[in-house]
Amino acid sequence: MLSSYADTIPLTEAPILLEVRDVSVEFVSKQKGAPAARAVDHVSFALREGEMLGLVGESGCGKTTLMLSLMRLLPAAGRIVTGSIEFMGQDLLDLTESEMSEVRWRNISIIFQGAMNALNPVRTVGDQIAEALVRHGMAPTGKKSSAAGRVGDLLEMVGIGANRANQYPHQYSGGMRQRAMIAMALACNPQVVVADEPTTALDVMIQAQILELLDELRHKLGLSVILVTHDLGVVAEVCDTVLVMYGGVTAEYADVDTIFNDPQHPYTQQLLNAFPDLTRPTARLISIPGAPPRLDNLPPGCRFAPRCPQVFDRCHSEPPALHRLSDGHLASCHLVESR
Amino acid sequence: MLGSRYVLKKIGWAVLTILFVIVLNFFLFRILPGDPARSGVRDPRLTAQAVEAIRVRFGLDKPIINCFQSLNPVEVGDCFVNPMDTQFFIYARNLLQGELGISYHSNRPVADLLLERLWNTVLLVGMGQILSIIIGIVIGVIAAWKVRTSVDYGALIGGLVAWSLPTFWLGIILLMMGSRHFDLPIGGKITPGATYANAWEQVLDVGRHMILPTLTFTIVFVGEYLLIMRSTMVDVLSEDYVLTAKAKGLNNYQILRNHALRNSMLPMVTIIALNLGFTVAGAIQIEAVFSWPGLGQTIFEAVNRRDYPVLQGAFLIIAVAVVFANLIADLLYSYLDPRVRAA
Repeated sequence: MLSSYADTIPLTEAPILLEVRDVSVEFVSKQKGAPAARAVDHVSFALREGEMLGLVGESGCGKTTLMLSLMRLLPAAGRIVTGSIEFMGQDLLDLTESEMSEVRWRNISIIFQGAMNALNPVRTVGDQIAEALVRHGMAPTGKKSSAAGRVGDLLEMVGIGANRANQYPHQYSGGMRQRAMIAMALACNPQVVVADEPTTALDVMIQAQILELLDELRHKLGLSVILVTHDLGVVAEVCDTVLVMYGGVTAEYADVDTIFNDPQHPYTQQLLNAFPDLTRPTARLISIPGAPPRLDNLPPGCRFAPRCPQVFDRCHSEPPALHRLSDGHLASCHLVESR
Repeated sequence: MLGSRYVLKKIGWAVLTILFVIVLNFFLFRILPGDPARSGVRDPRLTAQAVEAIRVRFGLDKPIINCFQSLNPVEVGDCFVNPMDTQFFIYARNLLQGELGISYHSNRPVADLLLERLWNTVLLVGMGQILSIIIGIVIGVIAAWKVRTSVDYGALIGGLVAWSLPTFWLGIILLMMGSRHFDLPIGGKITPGATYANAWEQVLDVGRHMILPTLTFTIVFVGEYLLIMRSTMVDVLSEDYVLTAKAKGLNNYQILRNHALRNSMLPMVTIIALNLGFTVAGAIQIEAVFSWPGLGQTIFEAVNRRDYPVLQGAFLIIAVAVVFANLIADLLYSYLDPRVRAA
């Protein structure tokens, strides 16, 4: 398909920290003889130091699966079948399970959607943060109690009083729980933080606060962040690059300005139409009819063809390749081939 | 840690429940048809004077309570008698003094009789519960960890079979096999007529007698614990916080110990506590099969003999055991789950 990925990556100056190449993930079916469902199909992207990547797409497009693959946290039925995940020059897929567990949280941490359930309800928030510190040898004496100072600092950093470390998750509000989750994700000074729809189930004001906090911390700590979201407004505001996924494949990949000003893939265009434009507040929002394809019943050609307004014959028979439109702008659509 | 208000409230409820049981226990037997004096000593040659003498001896000539001479048949009586001279308040006063009455059958004080039998039951039930809890939890956790593998299916089928075996049938089968092939005693707590050179020999003899009933008890209960532990654990292992724990770099053992086990124990605590209370009574079948001189066998015999004071006392002990076990469960639960404390 493409000889080198380095020149397909949206151009910025910083060195590449995490490079995902050609990753495919399959889920083994429970029924004997049924083919494995491919949730992610040959997806590549790169994350540079201090950069925020927006991962956009509808539910069921493989976003979370891709993020779990990064940390090798896929459920038992899931397998990474192709590709490599290089973090600071080391392919994470080559590591043993115990080596991988060293990388988790220490180098790459994750903020799950719905912090409601991501914190253990029967243990104090401080205790759960301290646990991560102890695990990665960042508690001065190796005991949880010795990490109390750091736990307090972390909570203060996300705007929670250090005195609340001894409280349980149910004593926190939804927004506080997500803040605590962010504090926990930052506990071991990771280089990469994956935020998987961090604002799901929070009200709009709190959503804004959480994203603001995330953006502020990333600049302060020089983090690289992958933000998985449905919210294009957020992407426009905080992300540097954008990866649009559809049905487990890359639809379009570019820097944020290109995605918003010059979207090439009909899916990206449709997504943008479905998003309110502040300059034309009276314009109708256009939703995309239909739903993403089921993984066990993918269309033979382009996966977006059944919903695409610009569909033509070839789309139904032949899946489009990922075409390079310019340096750092990729789209998988037959329409852009000629360009 | 635990709010003293919460503890006091729970203890208060437990005491109230026991008081209610005491009252219910008394009236339940008085509403039942039949004259205890006659059914206690079932001899047609009994003269009217002898019956009256028995009635006086057991205080059955006194009114049940103010205004009621008898409850079956209902017979209204004097409302202005001294309350302390009615059956109910005599019963209540005796209870306060730890006095449960005299057995119609053996003429022994019920309290002594039951206490002696209770310890035998506690020995048997305690041993059986400890074994079934430990084995059930261990197998349940392993099955949940290996969910949908042959290990899991094996545990699942074994657990279901064990749970559905009828207690008395399993007891009889084990009794037959154990006594025939392993030369184990067929019943009782000690070998009749045995003399012991030292205490150790006695312990060994009791231990040999305990093997079969304990085994029966363990098999009957292990299925329940195993299945509940497994299904709770499977649920907990699919929780997001377990994924968080794994993402934090914890290994399987740490995830199990620090995140999954304690959360899975919550429903187990309730079930164990309820079982502990009920098994005092639930050992009836096992004790009957193995002639184990425990509370269950005593109830079994007392029912046959219409020995109401013994039944009344045994019911009280069971009720107290159930209430007490529930109290412990409540307190333990609130220690294990901080959300309960807040509620």
